[in-house]
Amino acid sequence: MDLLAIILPFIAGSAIIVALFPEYCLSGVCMILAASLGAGIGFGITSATAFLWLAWFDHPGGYYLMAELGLSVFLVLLASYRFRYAKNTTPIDQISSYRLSVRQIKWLKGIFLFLLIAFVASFILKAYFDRPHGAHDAWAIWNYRARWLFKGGSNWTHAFTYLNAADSPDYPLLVTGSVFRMWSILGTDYVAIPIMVAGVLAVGSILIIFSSIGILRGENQGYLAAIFIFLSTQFLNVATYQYADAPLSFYILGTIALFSLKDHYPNLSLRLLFLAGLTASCAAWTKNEGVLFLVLIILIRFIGEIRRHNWSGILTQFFSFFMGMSFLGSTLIYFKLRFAIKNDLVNQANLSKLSVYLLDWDRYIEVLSGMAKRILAFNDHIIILLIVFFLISGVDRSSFVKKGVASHILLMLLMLGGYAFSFFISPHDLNWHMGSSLRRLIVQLWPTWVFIAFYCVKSLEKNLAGEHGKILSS
Amino acid sequence: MLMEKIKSYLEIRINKYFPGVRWPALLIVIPALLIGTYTFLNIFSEVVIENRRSQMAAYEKRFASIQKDLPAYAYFNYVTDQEYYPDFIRVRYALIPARIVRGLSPRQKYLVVQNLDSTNIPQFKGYTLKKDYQNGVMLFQRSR
Repeated sequence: MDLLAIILPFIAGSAIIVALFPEYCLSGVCMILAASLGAGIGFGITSATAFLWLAWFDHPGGYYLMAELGLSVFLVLLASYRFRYAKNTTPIDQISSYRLSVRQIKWLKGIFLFLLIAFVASFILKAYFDRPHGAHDAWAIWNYRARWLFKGGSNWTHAFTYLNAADSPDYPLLVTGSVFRMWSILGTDYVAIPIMVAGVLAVGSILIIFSSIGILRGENQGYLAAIFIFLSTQFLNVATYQYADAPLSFYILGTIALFSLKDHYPNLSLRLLFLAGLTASCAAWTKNEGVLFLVLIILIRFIGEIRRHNWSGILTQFFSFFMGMSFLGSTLIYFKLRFAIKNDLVNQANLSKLSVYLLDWDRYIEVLSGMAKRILAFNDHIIILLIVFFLISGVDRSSFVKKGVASHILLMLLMLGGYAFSFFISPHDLNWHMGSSLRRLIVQLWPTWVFIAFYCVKSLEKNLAGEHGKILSS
Repeated sequence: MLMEKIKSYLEIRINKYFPGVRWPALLIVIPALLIGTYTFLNIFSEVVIENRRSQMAAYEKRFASIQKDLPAYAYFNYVTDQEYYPDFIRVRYALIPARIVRGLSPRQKYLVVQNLDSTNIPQFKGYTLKKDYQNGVMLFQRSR
């Protein structure tokens, strides 16, 4: 039973991906991408089902586990059926000639594996022994609510009562719900559970970067991109806090990676969009910033594309995306309407002061300079290393790389704009607000920026510098 | 001429130790190797050698004994000699599903006191000591 509680999200999530892509998912880097995304999607779905079970019936126990087991068995059977009878065996890799022409650089793989082991070992030491209960917000918000849902009996809604602004009782429930689900099934609040959720999603982000860049630009480039994340020690640090920021970065990165794949493999676009709908809704179900991400991605990738494509094509694509996001999206709306109380930033009282905030020019300067300063200083100025590396390596100007990248960059810039706006209208002391949250906000977007940079940069294999475009077009 | 020689020497060296990649890749690989190893060793030293543990674990341990004496879901007052704000948040977390009221107002049936800086048992008007857990944590009950 203990093992089932832990592995069912992985099984259910991975089975969904195998059922969607039976012809690609069980080999090479695609399998790594499927397993990492599957784990995240599994956490998203099971956290929502556990919460709905609590809201409609009772605390998740034996019956809930049976229902979840039934769902997982159904998904596994569907995936096996789809895998066995998949007739369409078109390889996912349109650039296989490129990939085959480049051999894997063994020492790069060796360094990647060494750093991955060091990352996992550091995470376990730090998270399990030094801070088993996470950092401040873990026991003030995320695990606090999970413990109330688990131990609160009929008073479990106390998890969403407002004591002070820092409690954020309107935050969505992916992290909290995942922890609560496993505690409920296991019958005890093991500290290892929130650590496992945080660890799986942190390592998952690294594997998504490696595998998605590996599919799009070759495995060697994927290793380098992942190695760059190991340089970002703040990512490891924030992951051990057991907050929702590292998990949110997982879902934002996953969604962007899926949209990149969709841009390059149009024959898979509807299935990829369904999956992207799932991951984007997982982002919204993780944190309020994820809701902003979901709205922006719909605006940029669908409404913004109307001029360039025909209506019916966009509508078909959006329908597929919408189907993917419908379950978690509707669960989020249900939670927000039924349980969540007002947000400390977006509420009537604060919004009534909007004009005062927005006409205060000093505030703009304070926010923008504060953000710029903190972004530059993030992780010992690592952004400077990324920029220098980017300038020295050069941009790959092939049509392959150009596809879709502008919309990713625009999306990430608008996300930063959204964060800036939340500071403009913040009722809190600005210095405190930015100081206490900006580092975590950067972590939410950091893996995606790294993904974009390594997706755009020229191939770093010696025999391929500048030849990527030629090989692709041939 | 000299620059060319240095460049070709460096290229030969780089090719020997890091074959197959252009040199900008080393801007990432070498610092990552150093920082990844240093981070692991630093955390290992903090956790295993210095035995560093977070305060929250100590709170959980300290308040575990009082938890069974507090009725579930009941509100209780909480008074502490610790000025640090997260103290309240930590106790609130450790004592779930009892519900914390910071300070003495409004008055509840139970009062939980954390008194770490002194061995004296504090007095509270209208409350009598129910149990001293001998670790700085005390439970008082309302007498009137």
